[in-house]
Amino acid sequence: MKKIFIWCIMHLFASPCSGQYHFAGRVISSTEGTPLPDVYISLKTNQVLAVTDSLGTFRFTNAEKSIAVIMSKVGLLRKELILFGNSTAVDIEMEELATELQEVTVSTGYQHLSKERATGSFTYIDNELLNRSVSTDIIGRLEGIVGSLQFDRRGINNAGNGNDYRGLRIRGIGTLNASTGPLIILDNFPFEGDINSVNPNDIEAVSILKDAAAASIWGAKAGNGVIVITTKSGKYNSPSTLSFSTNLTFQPTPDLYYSDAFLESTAFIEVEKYLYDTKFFQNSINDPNRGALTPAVELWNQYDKGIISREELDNQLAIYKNTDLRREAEKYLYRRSLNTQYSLRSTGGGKKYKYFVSGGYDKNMDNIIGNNFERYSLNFSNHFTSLKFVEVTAGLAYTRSKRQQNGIGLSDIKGKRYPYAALQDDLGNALAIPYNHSLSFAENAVNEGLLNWEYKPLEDRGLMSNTNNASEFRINLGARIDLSNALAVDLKYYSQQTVTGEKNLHLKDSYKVRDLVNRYTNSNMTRAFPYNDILNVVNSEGSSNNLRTQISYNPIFNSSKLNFISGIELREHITTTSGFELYGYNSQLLTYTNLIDYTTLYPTRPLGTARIPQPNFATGKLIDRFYSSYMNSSYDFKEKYILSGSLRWDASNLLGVKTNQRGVPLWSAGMLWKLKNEPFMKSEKVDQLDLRVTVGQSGNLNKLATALPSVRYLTDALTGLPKAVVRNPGNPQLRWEKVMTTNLALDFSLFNRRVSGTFEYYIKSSSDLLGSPLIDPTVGYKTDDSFMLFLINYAGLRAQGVDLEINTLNARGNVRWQTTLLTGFVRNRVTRYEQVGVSSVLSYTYNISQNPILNRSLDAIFSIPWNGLNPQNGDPIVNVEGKPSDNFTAYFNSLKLDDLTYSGVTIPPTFGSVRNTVSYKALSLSINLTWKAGYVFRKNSVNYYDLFSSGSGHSDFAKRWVKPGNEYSTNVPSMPAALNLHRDYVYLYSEALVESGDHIRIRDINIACDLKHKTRQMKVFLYADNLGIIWRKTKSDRDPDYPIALFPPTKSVSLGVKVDLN
Amino acid sequence: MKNKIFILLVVLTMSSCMTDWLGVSPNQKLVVITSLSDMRALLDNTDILNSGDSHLGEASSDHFILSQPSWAALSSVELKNSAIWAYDIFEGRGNLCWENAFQKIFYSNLVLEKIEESKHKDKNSVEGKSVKGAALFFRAWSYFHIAQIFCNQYSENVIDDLGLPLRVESDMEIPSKRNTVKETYDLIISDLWQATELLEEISIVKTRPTKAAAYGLLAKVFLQIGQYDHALQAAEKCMSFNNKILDFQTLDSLKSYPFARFNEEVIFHSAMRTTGIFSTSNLDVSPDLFQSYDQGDLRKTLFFVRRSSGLIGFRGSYHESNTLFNGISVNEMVLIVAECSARLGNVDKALEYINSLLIKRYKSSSYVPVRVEGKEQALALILKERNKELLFRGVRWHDLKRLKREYLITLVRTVGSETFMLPPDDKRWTLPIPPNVVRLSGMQQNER
Repeated sequence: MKKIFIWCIMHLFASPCSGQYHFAGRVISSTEGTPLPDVYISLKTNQVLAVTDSLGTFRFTNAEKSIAVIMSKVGLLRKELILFGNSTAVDIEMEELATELQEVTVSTGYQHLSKERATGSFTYIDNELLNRSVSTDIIGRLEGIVGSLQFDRRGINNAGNGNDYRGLRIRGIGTLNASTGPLIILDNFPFEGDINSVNPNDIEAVSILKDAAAASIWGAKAGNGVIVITTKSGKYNSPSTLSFSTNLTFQPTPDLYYSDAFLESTAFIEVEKYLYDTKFFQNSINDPNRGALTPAVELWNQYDKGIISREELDNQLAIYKNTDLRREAEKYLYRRSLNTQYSLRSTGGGKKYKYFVSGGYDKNMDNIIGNNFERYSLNFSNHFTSLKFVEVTAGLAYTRSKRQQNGIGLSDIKGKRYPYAALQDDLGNALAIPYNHSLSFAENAVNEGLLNWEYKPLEDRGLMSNTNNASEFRINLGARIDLSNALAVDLKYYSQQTVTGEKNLHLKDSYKVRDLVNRYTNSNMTRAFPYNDILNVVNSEGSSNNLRTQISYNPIFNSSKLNFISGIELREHITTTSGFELYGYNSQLLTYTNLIDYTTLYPTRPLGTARIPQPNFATGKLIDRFYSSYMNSSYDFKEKYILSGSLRWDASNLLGVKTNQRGVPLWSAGMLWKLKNEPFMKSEKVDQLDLRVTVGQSGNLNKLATALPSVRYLTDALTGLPKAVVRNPGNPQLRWEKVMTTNLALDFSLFNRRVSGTFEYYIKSSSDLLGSPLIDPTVGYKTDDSFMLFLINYAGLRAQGVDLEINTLNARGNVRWQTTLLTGFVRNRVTRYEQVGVSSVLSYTYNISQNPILNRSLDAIFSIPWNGLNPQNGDPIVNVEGKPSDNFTAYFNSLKLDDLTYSGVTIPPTFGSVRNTVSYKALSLSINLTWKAGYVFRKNSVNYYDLFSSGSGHSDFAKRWVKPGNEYSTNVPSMPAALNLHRDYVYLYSEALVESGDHIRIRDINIACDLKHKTRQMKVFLYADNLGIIWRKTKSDRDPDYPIALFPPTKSVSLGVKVDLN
Repeated sequence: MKNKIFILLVVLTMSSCMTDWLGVSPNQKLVVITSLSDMRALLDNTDILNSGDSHLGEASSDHFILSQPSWAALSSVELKNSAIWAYDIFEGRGNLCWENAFQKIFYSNLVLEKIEESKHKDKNSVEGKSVKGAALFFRAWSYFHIAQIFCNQYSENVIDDLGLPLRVESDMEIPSKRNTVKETYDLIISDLWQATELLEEISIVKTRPTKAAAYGLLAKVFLQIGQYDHALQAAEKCMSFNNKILDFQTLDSLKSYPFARFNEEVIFHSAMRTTGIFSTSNLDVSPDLFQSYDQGDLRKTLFFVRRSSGLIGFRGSYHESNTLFNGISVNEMVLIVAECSARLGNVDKALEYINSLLIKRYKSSSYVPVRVEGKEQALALILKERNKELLFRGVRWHDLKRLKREYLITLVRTVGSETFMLPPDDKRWTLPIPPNVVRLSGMQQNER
């Protein structure tokens, strides 16, 4: 380090001396006049003399007064000319090639690298590709256009708003902690909070850092890959432009009939009747608590008691049989969604100043009535150059968003579950659903002098207000001081302040308030609970401060170039939360009454005693601190061999570890060989042929793991004293998770760039993975403990795969046709797993299990063997001790992991997309097809236990075994006489319900018309998304990516206009 | 040279600053256990240490009846099976009774280790001793209570039978192996003797153990293993700190739950798991038990409630809710003194104690002190009163286990048309170890 510094100083003072000639100049674009950075100025012998800086300028000295040089850069027409020393600086114009492959500069968050000369593996998504799709958020736009990026949606049951990126995988999986997604960098620093708050119109490009050389610069947080988002900024010496864009996105009402977890009313009522006749509901009917009963059960009970006549019973049942909750929900709960987006931008720059200003407004009306979203965003980015060698950056961004979450989806309806629930009658009155109490009891409450005790979902929707307001400030300050042509110092400061406020108001007539008031109304009708609104507020503030000092040193030697950066970084992120709940709140007068006796046991209705629940109060403070020092260098020798290396040391404020365990060193090394520049590669057909190899180690940080036992303080409800709960029993052997990545790549470009692409092979070996071991509860660790977290480094994982990207230009000229093929294969295997016992056998049969098994994929799914149905009674056939048996519990308890059959993996190992873009004059059409293959999913089916006890039906009920002979055509067991959970399991978790997930879908289509008139430009486009599956291997009509969803992602159509004025 | 010193200084100040800067806890609510108050706070966690004791013994006892629909509607497999003394209790599932007990033991062990690591001054302070005593008490409490569920009843000829896996360290990496019954009781008794030395005489809340609580538990343990002389001494020692007996005449029978939590009779507060059979609406008191109370007995109205169905419910928990109390209280000590005195031949003392309790349970106008002749009659009377006084607080199962051979008790339960029986020498008096524990630890299962 010190040597380099001295060397720098020497270089600084050494250059201007001696009797040499000075050469200086600026390279600009011949068409736009903008400066061109990274242009190589070299002798014909390939010896590099200089490279232009970000302002397009170069300076060098030479012994000769006049020299013949070659100026070159990818995407520019190579230029040969003669330069004269000691003359005034000249502007040299270079012609940009109108080719497909322009020089791509990727950002790592620490530096901008020419993709051409980077050893690491980057995927670069430019502005045009990002804007091919329409969305409110940015991450969603990456699906289908980035190879090796997978969205895990197995757990999503409501695809309506599927913006959940916790399951995002870059090149497979490297940790057992499923909630850990990739690190997201906005411009130069890690982004904290909700990335959806960033307006996608302000984003210039996205780089995905995939291998060690690319990502290890981010050290301990880069183990799952890094996504670097670069926002727009102005350009020096460019005219002011004004752009306006807007788009509208429509979505029809979601297909509520998609979900098969629904049993239609007639069949459901038949099941209920059967159960009623077997006295199944006897306990509930006699329940002194007057618990909820479904309306049909209540009806039969009233008939049996002689309260209603046979005719009334039949009429009412006929109405029920004709009612379908999905139809009701379609009418009253859902709607067509409409998202609108507006953005106004201005950018430009002079010689010493460049700017970018934008304002955006988004308004989304979700497809659930009552759920809305609004976002305002403002963005300023300014760069000033002063004193020739200092560039100052000042950026400010402000976002404000408001989300209203007042809607009720089909799965949000509380209370009893039954398919014949009606929400509104013909006269427009909201109808009640039995919730905590039976309808007859709730109806009668008013007669006893209580408040109405009915729960009417439609009415309740209007009596609640749930809003989430968020505002975010981002400040970027920076200064770059060029000490010489080669040496620069960068100072950067980034601050992000986020404030979110969640406000949940239950008006006095909402069910929640009425229920509490009624419960605590005593026999002489005094109310212990205030009959007024309840307000619940949770505020949280996030404050993130980052400071970075970085030295970059880029000298040019005879025939080589060094690119070196080194720096230190401090980072702090503080989150504070505070929340309160107010009872007896009056939203007009802003008064409340929390002075309630919470210790007295009040008699409650309909029976029992209870204390009034304490209002919620929440306080919390989280502090994350990081200290990192890093260096990264690449050495470019003769434009043929490029070597790179990086080293980083991270330390953080981990709890309960010794100081020397707070840090971890991480590194990478890489090599790039540009074969095209070798003398033996003279083929005219080859434009580029690069071979890259990298290896390195990055990490994963889990702040929840502690080496010493840690406890959390709470207040004891019984005594009011402070109490502590063990959060983590501690593990003295704790280490950081490590991910070792090896990457081998071949970049090629052939036939005058008509065919180009990249082939990559990688291995990601993760070791010391943390997880909660399955442990004998006798040690003091409860199996269902929600408080305690015991983590040990107990597993290793190895993911390996290939990525292939091929771009072809199939036709050029009037009709231009381009194809991009992205495909990949990735497989993971548990290489180490130290575990004595096995968790519940059943857990290996779920779509998402992530229970590691040595030498199996982490995504493996197993099944109970299926032997068909018993021809006599429709029971699943099982054998206990070698004999056919109907003791399903005994069978189930004797099941071992070895008895299960391996059914495959639930995350597709093979996936890809092919995107074809055809354009003719101003018109263009782009279609993206995606596919996934090699995986399976477990279908839902009828669970009689749930059907009987909680009313959750399934359409497979209609296919059940009814009479001998059915066993040949169905696998659905007959309806059992009584609850038998294990009998259901034998079927539900069997091979019979595993389906292949392979499919091809049309992801989206974009049709655009690009009109240009001198300095004006207008683009009109139509974009259709989620167009659906065009081929699938299975006969089942489930969307394999959403096996348990209520409805699949709904098709959407967007219409947009973009106008640019110069 | 100067430069080097300067650089060294910079590096040193930087690194020490860094250490402080990075030493901040990432979650301000999380701390590493260091101070006595941290340890005290751990033991003051009443959700863990004063609740969740096993209800399986109570579910296997004879104080309640179950109709066929009520039995069928029970969602808890373990309760369903315990109530009919089925061979398989857990049907492959894990069990919270076991896990709750060992979680208490883990907390106790953690505190005991941290106390040893703490400063000499802290360790020997009154509070330090008291915290250590409390940890020992809770460990003994847990071991004693689950021993009654998962171990054979203590007697001279079973001391080498399988006891509990005795965990005395918090380290989760140490495997669990079962010790013998004798070793189990040796640990319980030695922990309690130490606790009697270390604990304070009074505590600010009844969820914290005191000297009285330690003697009280010791009395229960000695009674259970038939060491009546020791039990007598311990119970008397316990009563020397608190001998207040609630006067039931002063209680308000109109309240849903007439017994105040932490009332003066309570020495140590603790609660059992209360789900399934034991929630208010489901528990039907055995009519035989209900009939055994005289008309003038105030317990008949204060303990019970007659439901609209005509069946009898229980409301006598000292937890002042439907959660069942299983702590230590003076009435139990009185009954131990009386029983042990009778067994040791001091019938007069036994009667004196039993009358001192009963006079507070009857309307004073109608109470006539009981009088019987001879040790056997006195014992029978005391055991009968014990059955009427200590119900639905975990004690019944302990009593059944220790008295089953002496009185040849066979438990009988009728559910619908089926009748189940548990004869005195049956292996089902000891419940099986939860199957997940056996699977994960490899420990030996009980014979059934």
